[in-house]
Amino acid sequence: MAVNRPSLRLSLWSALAYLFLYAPIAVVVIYSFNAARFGAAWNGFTTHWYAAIWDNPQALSAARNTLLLAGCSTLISTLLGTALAYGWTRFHFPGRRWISGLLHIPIFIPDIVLAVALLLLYSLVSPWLRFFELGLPTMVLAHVTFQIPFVAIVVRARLAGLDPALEEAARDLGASGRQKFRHVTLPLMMPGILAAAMLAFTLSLDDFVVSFFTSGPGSTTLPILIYSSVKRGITPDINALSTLIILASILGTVSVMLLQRKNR
Amino acid sequence: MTAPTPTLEKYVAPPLSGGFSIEADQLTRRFGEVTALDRVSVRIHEGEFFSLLGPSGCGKTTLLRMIGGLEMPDSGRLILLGRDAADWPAHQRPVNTVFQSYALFPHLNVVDNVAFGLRMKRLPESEIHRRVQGVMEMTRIRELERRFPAELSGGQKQRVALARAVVNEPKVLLLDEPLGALDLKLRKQLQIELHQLQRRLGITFIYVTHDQDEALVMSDRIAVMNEGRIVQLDTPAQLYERPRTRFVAEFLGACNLIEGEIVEAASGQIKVRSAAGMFMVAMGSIAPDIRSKVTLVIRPERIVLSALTQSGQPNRVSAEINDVIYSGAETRYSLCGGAVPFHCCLINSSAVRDGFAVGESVSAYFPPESLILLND
Repeated sequence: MAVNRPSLRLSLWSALAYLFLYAPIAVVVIYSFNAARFGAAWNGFTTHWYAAIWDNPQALSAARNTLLLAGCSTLISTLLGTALAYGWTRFHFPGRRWISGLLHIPIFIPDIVLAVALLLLYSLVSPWLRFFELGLPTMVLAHVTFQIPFVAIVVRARLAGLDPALEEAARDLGASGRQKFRHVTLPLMMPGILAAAMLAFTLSLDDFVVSFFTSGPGSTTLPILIYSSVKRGITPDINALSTLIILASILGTVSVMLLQRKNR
Repeated sequence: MTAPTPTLEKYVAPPLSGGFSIEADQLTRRFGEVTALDRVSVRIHEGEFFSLLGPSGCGKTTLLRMIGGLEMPDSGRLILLGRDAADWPAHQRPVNTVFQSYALFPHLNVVDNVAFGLRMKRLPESEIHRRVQGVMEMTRIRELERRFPAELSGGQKQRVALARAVVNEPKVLLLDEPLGALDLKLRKQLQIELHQLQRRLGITFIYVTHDQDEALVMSDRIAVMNEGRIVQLDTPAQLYERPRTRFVAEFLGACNLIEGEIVEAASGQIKVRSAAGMFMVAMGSIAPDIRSKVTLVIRPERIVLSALTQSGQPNRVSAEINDVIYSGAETRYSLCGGAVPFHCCLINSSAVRDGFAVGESVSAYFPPESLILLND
């Protein structure tokens, strides 16, 4: 294939598009190093606001909640989503195509609708089941709800790309159903499962809408904390916190990409 | 079935003693509208190199997968090593397969791929090591030990797939077009290696291929399949020399087909009239009904060309050479005699080219013993 260099005009447009995408993020990152307490004036470079986060018990507890929420929900959704993907690709049953369609719908439902629906459901059930009183457990449940479709779709793509002869070869070589799954199918699915888990983790990490609706007292996460702080005016420590979240998201995304490149 | 003609006997493999590895009885398998296997019955001897030969979609792979337990028949019975295979799961059968795509486990290196079957059987690691090393020695892949399948060439993958199957010491080895993806030269080399390996191991090989040369080179017996059925089952020599249908004649090697009509049948000879002239043929397997339409088959290398002398005799056709193709070991001629086109091929047994030129008139002799009479 011939290597085509883009024209100058196309390059300029592309540069503009990227500027549009990244300028807001750049502003946040830059202002997290601004020494000025208030306002947009540049008052000199400082890392003081990053250090200040460590002295802020609210920020620390929010960070702990965020990680706990992301970790638990990712674990549960990865297990469930993987089982769903495996069942869907390996077994034939009535309504198989419907299930595939139903899997995609939660992805397109607006977050706010899902959040309201979950809130409604939890408040209906909580008088009978104390577990559903708003707090970290309900948030984990809510996050699992929106993570499962993403996990299932990523793992299913991996499974669909596997040569069926590999599992036949395992059987042919004397592997029982269980041995086949443990020694062939699962290792081959693993890159897909890890990529799905990374994706789920990132989704949970920066979710605000669903968390906000399903949180209870003491279960404030970083996005919620930032939202409530902003109401009192944007301060540089929020910029620093935001920068850290951006960093975590980038790390998550890059590792998903690396994992997917590794398994071609 | 007719008795083999005496000239063929020296090519026929010695009769195989012992029992049967496979006894298939009326095996049928349908996929939706398509009948992949249509009441196939076949018995395969222990220690035999048996080939299933046919065009794609003829059912050969389905039959192979049934023997391996990866496919179940809709009806019919399969006896594997004297035992009914209906309730014998694939992973417990003493049968291993070399897959067409090799199906090497991409997450395991060569040693772990080869050791896979033995590990599943939970043999002691010391024995696994000994057997894996032995087989890797035999298939000459020892230096590839630590490599992963993605780092191997086609020929190397083929050897690893073979080692991975053979290390389990199966009673029957199934090979599904294992050389299909390799280039011609490597294929020729591996054909000989596979043949020698089978002799050395003494186990039953069932080999699926659509390549007639491959089947002829390696097999003790070949089942030619078409549209889900076995159309002829014979030794390679019998199949080549005495095909029983037009399909078999055309599928195995090049051949000339001459349409004709029986005009006389007496004293072990049949006289056939065709547009190319009269032919005398030895009385064969088909009923010599006068006036019935028949097809004469002759292999291109059996036609004898000579300078034009006399004509009008049976089995001798005056023909004109339309094309000459020199291909090293042999020279191929396209001819036309009595409006019937045919091909002929002469071995270039000396460096002096004493063949014929385009446009030359020659006399083509069709020896009666080389003519095959078919009634389809």
